[in-house]
Parts: sequence; structure tokens; C-alpha cells
Amino acid sequence: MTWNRIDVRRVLRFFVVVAAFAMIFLITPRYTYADESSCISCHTSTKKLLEVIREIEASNPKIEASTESEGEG
Amino acid sequence: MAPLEPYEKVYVDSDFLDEDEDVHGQISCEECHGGNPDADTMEEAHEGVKRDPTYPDATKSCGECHLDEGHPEIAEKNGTNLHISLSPFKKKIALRANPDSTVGDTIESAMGTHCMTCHSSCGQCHVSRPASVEGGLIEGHLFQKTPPVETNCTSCHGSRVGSEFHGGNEGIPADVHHLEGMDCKECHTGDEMHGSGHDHFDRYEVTNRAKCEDCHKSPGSEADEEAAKPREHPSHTIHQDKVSCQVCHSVSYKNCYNCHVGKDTAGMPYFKTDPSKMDFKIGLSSKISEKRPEEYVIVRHVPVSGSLFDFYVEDALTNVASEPTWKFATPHNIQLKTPQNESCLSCHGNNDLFLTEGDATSWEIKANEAVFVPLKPAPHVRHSWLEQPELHLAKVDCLTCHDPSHATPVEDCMQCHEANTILATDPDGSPDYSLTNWNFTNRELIDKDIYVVGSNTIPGLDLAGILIILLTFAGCAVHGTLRFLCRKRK
Repeated sequence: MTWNRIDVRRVLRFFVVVAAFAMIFLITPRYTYADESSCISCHTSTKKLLEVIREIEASNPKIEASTESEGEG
Repeated sequence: MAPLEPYEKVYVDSDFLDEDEDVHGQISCEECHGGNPDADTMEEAHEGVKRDPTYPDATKSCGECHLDEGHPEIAEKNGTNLHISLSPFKKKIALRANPDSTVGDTIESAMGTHCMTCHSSCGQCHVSRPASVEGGLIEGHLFQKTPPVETNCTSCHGSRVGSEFHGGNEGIPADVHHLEGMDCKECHTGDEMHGSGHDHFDRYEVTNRAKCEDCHKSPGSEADEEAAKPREHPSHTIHQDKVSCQVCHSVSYKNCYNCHVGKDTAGMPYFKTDPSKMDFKIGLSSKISEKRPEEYVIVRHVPVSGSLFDFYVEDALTNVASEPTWKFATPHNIQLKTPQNESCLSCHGNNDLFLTEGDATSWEIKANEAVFVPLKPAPHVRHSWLEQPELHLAKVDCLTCHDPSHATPVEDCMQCHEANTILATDPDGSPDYSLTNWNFTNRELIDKDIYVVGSNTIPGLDLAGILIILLTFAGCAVHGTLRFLCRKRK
């Protein structure tokens, strides 16, 4: 039995698809649905956090601890 | 401890979401923290968010899994965890408080604003810094099995224990355990940190607390292990169960005075304490028990004062003098050699080391009556029955007469001043040892770090000396004789 060019292409295409799936499942970290949440998208991004915190600090100045405290706690 | 930038406090490391790194990342955020991840705005998303879902009750957040699997032994007893309950705080203030219930309610409210904010929780040890030190996630929300020392242990226990242990007090060396590379968890195990299962009046009553004897076994203890460091010094035999370890092995530590709490014009809570003082005081134990039988212990001044809550209500602590202000303490600056263990007389007769009325302000005298040490006459007065007390104290080591292996000290002059003197025996009274032996040095005593009564007499050395002298004379005699016999007659 001899392989024609179309058979070879099919086999190659099959291996490429299998390899692509393997790459997705093996290399990509196994994140759960949590990575889809808006909590994660914000709290894992330094850039977003910095932007948000600047906005918050601009509108609501940070409340410092009382300056009247003296001595060691 | 370096402060965190605001964004660092809430930054979540993406590794947290990797199951292999932290299984907690598989739980959705809102399941523990609440809030609404589907909201359109940040404000709506954070509505109802719990910053620390483990405080005050971790049953739902941690207990959901850890009660049945993981660490049920921790979850079950965690209600008695003093880091969370601060139970002794409340009980001790209650003892000093005005019995009027209205005043009591005000005190409770004030304590809630001030004292009780210094608590921890599962989350504030294993996930973030404690809220009392401005919080902030440690390691990007990755759960830490053992809380880091700097951010979580000494961030709260810093001004006293932390400074003592790490050598932060000027002129006072760090604790030998720290210098040996040990950190908090080496002594304070997870079992102790998560409570004992019982509600205690005092943290020193906690049954599974850290004890020196866990590693430093008593002589002859059945619990001796290979790794244990035995305590062979005769001082341990003499002082065991009478004097706490810290009395001999601790050095100056911090004492705090006169705390006041209130709120500033902006309504922010504040506290004020007088400057701390470094001091070292031995007092009587107010908590002698079967497990803590020592009569003499280290005492530390606590900052309580009658006017502590004056900002909120006057006469809040009408019974402030019902409890000592110098409290049982275990300073964390242990040293092998200290000024007070240099010799017996460094402590015995050194009245400056002992807590007396002179160390208390007028209102504190009544409070500390039970812990003041009644001073004893100076050693030379106590030994005045001897012919020459000063000479004996200067020339004779205390252990020669106060031999720990004997039930009573030597009081008969003839025990020393006779031919068969006890000075020629081993201080331990061991029958198989003689100070007149053939060994060349006292190494067998020195190696054990035990007291050497005096120089021993080495028969071998004596014999060698005599032989050298005899041989010298013999050589001279032979030389002279030969010269006489071989002389050339003129």
C-alpha cells in the first residue's frame, strides 16, 4: 500500500490539531472560572490597580492615623 | 517592616490562580469576600465586600473545608485562639474596672475602638498583614503555611518581643536563639498558635505554650532525647522550680508606662504612653502553679493606669490597684552568660535586681504588694556566724558549702578545717572522683562547665618535678665524682 499526497496531508493535519490542543492543555496554566471574573482582571493587573488607586486618592484623600498617638504600642 | 504601596496591598499574584501553587485560588473571589463581580462599576462590585472574611468568625470561610478535612484539629479549637479572641485582655481590664455596669459598657466600647483592634485572624496571619498594622496582602494572596516573621509576627509583637529577640534595643544583644538561626515557629508551634481548646485567663496558662524545657531537659528527665540540650550546671539543680529560666538568662528589657486612649478632633483614635524604660526586675510570681512552680520570676511593667479611659468615662478603673502593674514576663533576649549569673553574689545580695516598693509609684504599691520581693540581709550579715565572713565570701566558692547534692549547707567548720577536708572532693560528691588524681588537667570538669573548687593536685606532675630535681643533683654528683677521679695529678 502506498500513501498518496492527500493521505499525508490528512495525517499531518491531524497531528497539528492534536499538538495544538496539547499545547493549550499542557502549557497554559489551569485557571478556573475565577480568572474570568472582573475581580481577577483588576487585582492581578498592577497597571489597572495603580490607575484605580490614583482615581480614588484624587477623589477621597487617604485618612491617616491620628497624629496624636505617642509612645510605643 | 517596609510599608506597602497602596496597590501592593490588594495586588493578587496570578500564581494564586494556579492550582499547583495554591488550591485556595480555585475558589471564586466572591465566595469568600462577597461583592458582585458582575457589577458594572467598581463601587457596585465592592459593595458588601469583606476585607477579611475570616474575622471574627472563620467557620464559613475556612471552616467549610477545614472542619472536615485539612486541619480539623485547628478549626475545632480556633475559637480559643488568643490571637483572635484577646480574651485575657478583656478579663484583666474587667478585674480593674468600676463595677458600675454603665461604666462597664463604656469601657467595652472604648476597648473595641482601641485595645481590641490589635487582634489577628486566620487571614491576617496566613494571607495578609494584620489590619492593626495597615494590612496588605503578603505574597500576592498566596496562602502562607507559616506566617512570615517580619510582616506578621513582629509587626504586632515588635516593640518588646521583636526588639528583644532581634537585638533591636541599644546595647542589648539579640537572643541566642535568633543568633543560632531560629525564628518564632521553632518554639511557638502551629499547635500553640491556634489555641488550646480552653478559654484561659492569662496567656501563660495556655497548656500547649512554648516552654524552655521542651528543648532544655531537666537533669535526669525521662524525656531526655539525643537532640535535647541537658542542663548540667549545678545552678540548675539549685534553682530548679524556684527561679524561672529568664531570671538567670535574660537581660534588660522594655517596660511601658501610663497608657491613655482617646479620639482626636477628626474622630480618629489615638493612644499615648510615657517613654518606655529599659530595666531588669526580679519579682515574686503571682501565678504559682504545678506547671509554673517558680517563686522568683521576671516582671515587666505594663502601661495600665487608673486614667486609661478618662477620655470616655472618668473613674473607669476604680479597681486598678487590684492587680499588679509589674507582670510575669518572659523576655525574649536569652543569653547564656548574663550579669546576674556571673557568680552567686551577682544576684544574692544585689538588691537592685529585685522589685521593691521603691520601683512603684504611690498608687502602685498596693497593686504590687504580692510581687515585691522582701529583701534579705546582705550575704556577709547572713554568714555572720562564721569566724571571718568576708574572708570566706571572698575566698570560698559558695557551692563548696552550698553543695546541691547535699540536703543542707555545710555549717560545721571542721568539715573543711581538718585533714580529710571536703575541699578535696568533687563538688558533686561523686565517690569515683578525687581531686588528687593522675589526670594532667581539670578538663573533665571544665568540659562539663561545672564548678572547679580549686586547683587539683596532680601526683604525676609532683613526681616528675621531684625526679627532675633528684636527677639534677645526681648528675652534679656523678659529674663531680668523675672529674675528681679523672683529674690529672701533677
